[in-house]
Amino acid sequence: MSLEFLNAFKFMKKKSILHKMDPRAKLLFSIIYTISALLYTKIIPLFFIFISLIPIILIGKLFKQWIKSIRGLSFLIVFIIILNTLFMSLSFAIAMIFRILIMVSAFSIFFLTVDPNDFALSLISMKIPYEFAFSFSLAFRFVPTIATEAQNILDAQQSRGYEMQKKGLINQIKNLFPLLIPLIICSIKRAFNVAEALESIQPLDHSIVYHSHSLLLRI
Amino acid sequence: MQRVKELPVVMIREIGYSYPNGTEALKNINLNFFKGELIGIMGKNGAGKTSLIRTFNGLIRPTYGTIYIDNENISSKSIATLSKKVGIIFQNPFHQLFSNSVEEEIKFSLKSFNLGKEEIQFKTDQILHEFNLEKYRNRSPLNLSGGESKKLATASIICRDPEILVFDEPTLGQDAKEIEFFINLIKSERKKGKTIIIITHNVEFAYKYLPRTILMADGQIIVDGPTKKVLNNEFLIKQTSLILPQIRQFTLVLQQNGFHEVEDLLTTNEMIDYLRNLIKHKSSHI
Ligand SMILES: Nc1ncnc2c1ncn2[C@@H]1O[C@H](COP(=O)(O)OP(=O)(O)O)[C@@H](O)[C@H]1O
Ligand SMILES: [Mg+2]
Repeated sequence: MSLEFLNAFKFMKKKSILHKMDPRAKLLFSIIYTISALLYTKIIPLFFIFISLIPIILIGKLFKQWIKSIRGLSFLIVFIIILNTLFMSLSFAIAMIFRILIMVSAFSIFFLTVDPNDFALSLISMKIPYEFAFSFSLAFRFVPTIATEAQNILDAQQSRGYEMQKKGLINQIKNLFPLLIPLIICSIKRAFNVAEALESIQPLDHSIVYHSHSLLLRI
Repeated sequence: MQRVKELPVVMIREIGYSYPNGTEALKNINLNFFKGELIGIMGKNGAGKTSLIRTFNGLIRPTYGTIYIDNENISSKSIATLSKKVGIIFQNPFHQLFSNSVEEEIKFSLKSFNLGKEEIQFKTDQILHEFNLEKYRNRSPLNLSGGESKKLATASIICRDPEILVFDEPTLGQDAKEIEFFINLIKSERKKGKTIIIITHNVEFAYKYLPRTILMADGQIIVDGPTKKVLNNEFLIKQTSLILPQIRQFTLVLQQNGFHEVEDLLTTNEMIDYLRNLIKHKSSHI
């Protein structure tokens, strides 16, 4: 077992129309898809919204990674089916699965096709205050780092006999602790390190980082 | 290496590995490790050292080629099975520490062996004693110092008693006392017949303690031989951004200053003998 599905959120340089598009357009696209997924609770409209994503995934040459991200969600999907069927109904459960799939796919398209550096640029060009743009793109920048770290943690635990597959829901949840605790601890540590590094270069210089690069040229 | 009859514990035959994103991390690797050997792996960051050791217990499976451990092909064996034979101690101890107490951290490592409660307790006590961690028994692993957390991570692998021990940069960020503890640890593990493989950037450490060194670059092995030969080779050292051992640097400086006969001095003791002779010689002239 590996955490390969986390690669589904890692940016990779590729040549496609989708990759060349302005990051702002793609952000808007992901948000619109998320909102429309939240607007409906019936299977039919959610199904069509979901289907409409597939051509976009194919245009972006993202099919393989997208499948991986969906496969990585299988545990969550089973969880949703069981809970929703027990407390609501099967049709509602299926609708909720489409909802999750739409949201994950929309954002996976965004993360897969937007270079973290371009993203900061585009936020600044939207006149978003530098501090917000900076923290947002910093968080964005750490997605692949955390994915790598999660894999390293899994490696370290498996090297001392830890196994991911366990029987029973309670056991499966308990079994996540050896992965989640180190991940949280390491993330907090890194956050402190980054904060310290940032404090030492205060005040933030707004002029140096991104000003000569025009996004529009790339479209 | 005149061990013709004895079969290697680890046999690596023409393996290669590419990560899912296409990075070719290992190319055409062939290696033999014999029982009881102590081996260093060195090379630049990104050379593929960590990727290579990840293949030993199945964390990654070679894209091509075969690995045999104890003469058995490991390709169909699970990580859980292999990790009982090959214990890997990774660089960052905080990637594995998660329990409420130091004691439970060790017990977690022993879980997969189906031992009785008493036996687990016995082994835990034994290992805590061996690593001088008894006094922290009930402490949270997260409240240990850097050196102690590394010790605990090491203990949590050694308690599983694997026949092959692999360390990823164990001396990194350790102070002199911690390195000394580590050296004593590998000496005692070696006495038990363990095969030990150590990834390190520490030239002096490798020169002094590791009999055999493998140099890697760009996913390939560029040389594999006796450490004293490998690390004294200026050409190879330049290629892998290492530095020459101090004794070699000293010899070169002496040579540049007219002491041509120092050519073959490889160890501190040889150097001392040479200097002693020189002084004797000089004083007898006066
Ligand atoms: N999980 C991974 N996914 C993709 N590429 C990786 C991964 N881990 C390592 N690499 C790449 O493989 C190569 C070898 O890395 P590694 O084995 O970690 O080298 P070393 O341990 O010698 O520094 C490097 O180019 C590195 O960027
Ligand atoms: Mg490494």
